[in-house]
Amino acid sequence: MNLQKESKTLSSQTANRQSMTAIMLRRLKKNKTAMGGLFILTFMMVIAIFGPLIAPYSYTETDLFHTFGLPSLLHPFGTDELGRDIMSRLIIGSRASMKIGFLSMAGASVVGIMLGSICGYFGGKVDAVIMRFMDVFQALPPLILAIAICAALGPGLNNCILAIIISNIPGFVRITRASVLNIRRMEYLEAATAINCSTTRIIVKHILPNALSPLIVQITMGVANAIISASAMSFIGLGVQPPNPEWGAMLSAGRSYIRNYPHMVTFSGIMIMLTVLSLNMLGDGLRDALDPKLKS
Amino acid sequence: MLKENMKTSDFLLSVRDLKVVYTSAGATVHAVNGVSFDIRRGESLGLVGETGAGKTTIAKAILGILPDPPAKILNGEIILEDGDLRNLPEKEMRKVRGKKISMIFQDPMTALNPLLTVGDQIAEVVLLHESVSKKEAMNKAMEMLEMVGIPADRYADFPHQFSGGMKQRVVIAIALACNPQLLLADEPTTALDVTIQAQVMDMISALQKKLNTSMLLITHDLGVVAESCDNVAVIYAGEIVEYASKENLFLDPAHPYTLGLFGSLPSLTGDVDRLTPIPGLPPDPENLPDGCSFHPRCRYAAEECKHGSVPFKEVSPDHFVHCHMCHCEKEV
Repeated sequence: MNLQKESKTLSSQTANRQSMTAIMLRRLKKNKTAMGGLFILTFMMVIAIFGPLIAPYSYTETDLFHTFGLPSLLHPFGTDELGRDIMSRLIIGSRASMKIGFLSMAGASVVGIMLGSICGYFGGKVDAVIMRFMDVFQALPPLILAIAICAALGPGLNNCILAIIISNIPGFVRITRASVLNIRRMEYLEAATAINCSTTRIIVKHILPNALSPLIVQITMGVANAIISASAMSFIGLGVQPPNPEWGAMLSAGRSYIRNYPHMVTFSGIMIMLTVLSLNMLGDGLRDALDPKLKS
Repeated sequence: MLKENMKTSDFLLSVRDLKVVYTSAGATVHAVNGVSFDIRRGESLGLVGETGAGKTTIAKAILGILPDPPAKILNGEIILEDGDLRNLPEKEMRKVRGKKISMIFQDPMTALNPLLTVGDQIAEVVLLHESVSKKEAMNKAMEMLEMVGIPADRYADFPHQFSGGMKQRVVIAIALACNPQLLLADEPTTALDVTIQAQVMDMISALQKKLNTSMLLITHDLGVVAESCDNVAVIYAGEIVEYASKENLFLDPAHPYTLGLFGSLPSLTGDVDRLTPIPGLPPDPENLPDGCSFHPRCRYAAEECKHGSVPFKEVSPDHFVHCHMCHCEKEV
């Protein structure tokens, strides 16, 4: 009898637990904006992954008789100054751009959040030392810093990502630190100490989830900035090397012809905008879905 | 210093001559100045005093969770079952925290993590201290919820879905989940409204009796003490000024400060036009007065109160007072 009762409570328990994740998913599904963002992002990902199969032309194929071609049936997005098909270049370029955007934010956020929570939680000398290092990094304009790193390590996609990671870390450290300092004062942390949670457990389980909202926003905005920074690096020849396409690089290349052939910048601009927009939409939705206080 | 004729092993917790200071920007705040008391098994001691008297500091010192810096325990022993907690290495202390001694916090609104379900927060302490599977911990958490009068099917609800009184019940469930020997209740009802206060206090007392847990109840409310404590220690500026059984303290208060506290309470039976509050403010703990720290506000203060140490007197058996002016047979 007792056993039966126990198994009954257990099953209702597991049902409850499943519904927890389900609540999160259901909330996300209900949020049309977030689902729209997720849809666009998935679409971009598919394009990036299957790029070489989808692209109608080779991204290096030049056609000097049809330079600066306006959008037509043959070239839906037109052609550039060397007669290359812009659509194919955008499709192939999405691979480099996505890689830059996501990898650099993943790297910067992981390192930044770790350092930031250490600073905020422990305070004192550790905090002072790490924050002074961050001050040094922030004293240089991020682009100059990234250029210096790229110049030292040599040009190329991976070094470009590394440079962007390093120049983005201080922002994450500061935001995480501020959040953690705020949460550090809450009584539930004292309560967690009183029931004997280890420091790691307190940081990972009790502080970081509560500090997440501003970080999600920072990450989604950061992806866009990373793509733009990468384009600046490509522009001065330190990023993705021509003829390999990359959205930012295409944007800055098209800039010279903006008066007569605006389609060259328009489409690469739209691609960057769509990526950023979809990320922001999804990020906002995720933040809301993860916050138990907002009723669905 | 207190009750030295008794063997310490009669007591679950004995605090001896505890001194805690906070240092910030060169200034030293004397928060707790030589406090001693004992709690027997199953007994509850009320710690009564004004805001800033050092009550919470004492509780945190016992649990070893004072933030150091700025807090520092200068002196004293905290003996739990024959072992001084201050000598325990951090690794051993971890086994004590939450398991042998647990704490109920003042403000249930902030004492629960807003992003975890209440059930998970109860299960967490069980998982941390007992070698049980996750499912067993969950079952235990549901049991605890039922015990504090919350239906177990609210396991997966978040703190914001509960009212203040229910949140405090959850905090109590967390504190009692591992059957602690000592419960430190730090103003458990201050943040709640009066009707809920009574309910929560009744529940704490009932569970304390049921589980035979000792309790240190910190409060500034003499009514709460009357309801649920066996002994009372009145604390002023980090010192215990009077220590007695509840009956003795309420029927026969001896220290001028205790008298002042009772004078500030409205009475339901007598007809009093004006209450008589204690004049002045508590002393600045950075700069405690010489002699008895209460003398600037005491209307019985004499020259001898202004300098030197104050004797501990036993006015009647097990009724101790820290005062020059109380007349009694023997000094301790």
